[in-house]
Amino acid sequence: MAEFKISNRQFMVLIFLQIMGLVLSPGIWTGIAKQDGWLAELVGIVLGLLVLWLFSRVANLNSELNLIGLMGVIFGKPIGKTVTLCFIFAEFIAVSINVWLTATFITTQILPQTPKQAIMILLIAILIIGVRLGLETIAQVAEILVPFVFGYFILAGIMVAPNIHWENIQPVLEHGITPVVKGALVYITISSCSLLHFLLLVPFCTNQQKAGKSLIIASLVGSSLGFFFNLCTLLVLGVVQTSTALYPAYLVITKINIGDFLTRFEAVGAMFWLISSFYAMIIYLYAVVQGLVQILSFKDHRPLTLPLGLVLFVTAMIILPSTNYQINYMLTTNVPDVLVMAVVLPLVLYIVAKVRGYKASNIKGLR
Amino acid sequence: MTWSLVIIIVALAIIFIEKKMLTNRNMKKEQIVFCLMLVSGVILGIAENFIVIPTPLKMFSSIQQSIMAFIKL
Repeated sequence: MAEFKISNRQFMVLIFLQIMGLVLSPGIWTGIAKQDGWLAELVGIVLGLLVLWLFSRVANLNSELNLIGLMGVIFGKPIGKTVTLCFIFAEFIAVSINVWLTATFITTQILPQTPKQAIMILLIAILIIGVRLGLETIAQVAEILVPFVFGYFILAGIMVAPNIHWENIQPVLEHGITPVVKGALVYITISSCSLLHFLLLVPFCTNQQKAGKSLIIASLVGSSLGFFFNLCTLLVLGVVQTSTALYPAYLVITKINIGDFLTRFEAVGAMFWLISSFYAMIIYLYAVVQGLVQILSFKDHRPLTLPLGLVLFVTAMIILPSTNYQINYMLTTNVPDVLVMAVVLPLVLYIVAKVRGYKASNIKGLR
Repeated sequence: MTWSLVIIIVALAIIFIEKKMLTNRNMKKEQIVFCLMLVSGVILGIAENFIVIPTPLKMFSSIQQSIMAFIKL
């Protein structure tokens, strides 16, 4: 049993913030689906519900155990530990990519003279402090910040409305359904599939039976807000700018101009995007630390955090050579890579559990 | 070169912060893992300034390309 608990609302808030931190990059799927980028996102949200349903089924196998515990019980110790190591590696790569992306955003848009490494050190220091303080603190701070993030993105979406050009999403389905499905697949790997590590937090929830439901609701709320904002981006900027700009969500906010009085709204937008992005990174890092603690049977997670931060700094420096490489990676290798980890793994886990007749009350029988 | 120095200073600071854990006789396993991670971080961090370390993502890409080539066969 976990020593501390987070409420289901806090669990939902963490999911919402992670989704907001990851999905505000419509350029990736708009590059594939062109003016149907919004449709690709919509299809991605609907298909993503299937992935989330699978996650909730896995969470309901035994809400007292997290994903790593379940893998150990259902697959057996040697296979369970091997799969756990792969999972930890994948999470570590994901947090490194996110640190690189955030540092690149800050150095290209806000602080161009500052070395990327300096931004990375500061960012990783905050992440490490957060992880050392524990999940309870992370969740409580998220609960304070979430109304501002939610309110800001709705307000920004409404304020860019005067610049909307409906012809930017016309004609609909000009290139057929294939690019839409391809775009939707990329969207799923960025949004729904990246929520797999929340299965590690299920045992910490106060109402574990409803954790699966909370996962689906929070993801749906986050994805809907992301869809609304990304649709506004596409309608304002058009296909070319949305798919070629480095940060289209940031660029669209620069267009806000209410009577020459309310302008330069993008700095606030950057702040809220950084907050959401920070939560995505901290949960990834927490999953890495939690995984290592379980696999090495440590009592405390804190001795691991500081050296892990140093390794993370070095990995974040070398993980991506350029933004072009990142976009190419997201469109090609990342899709099968994430699908194996976030769809095939839980599916196999669920099928093996059912075939072996696993029940929450019968853990020892399978060990 | 500057970043190699920064990494060494950060590593020393980490050792200083965790000196309580490092001198605890009941935390042998933690100490071994801590030292391994710290040393690998420092070595990689310094090496990164002198040689080009391939990104781990290239490994994923080559695995994917191999599988795709196998499927095409």
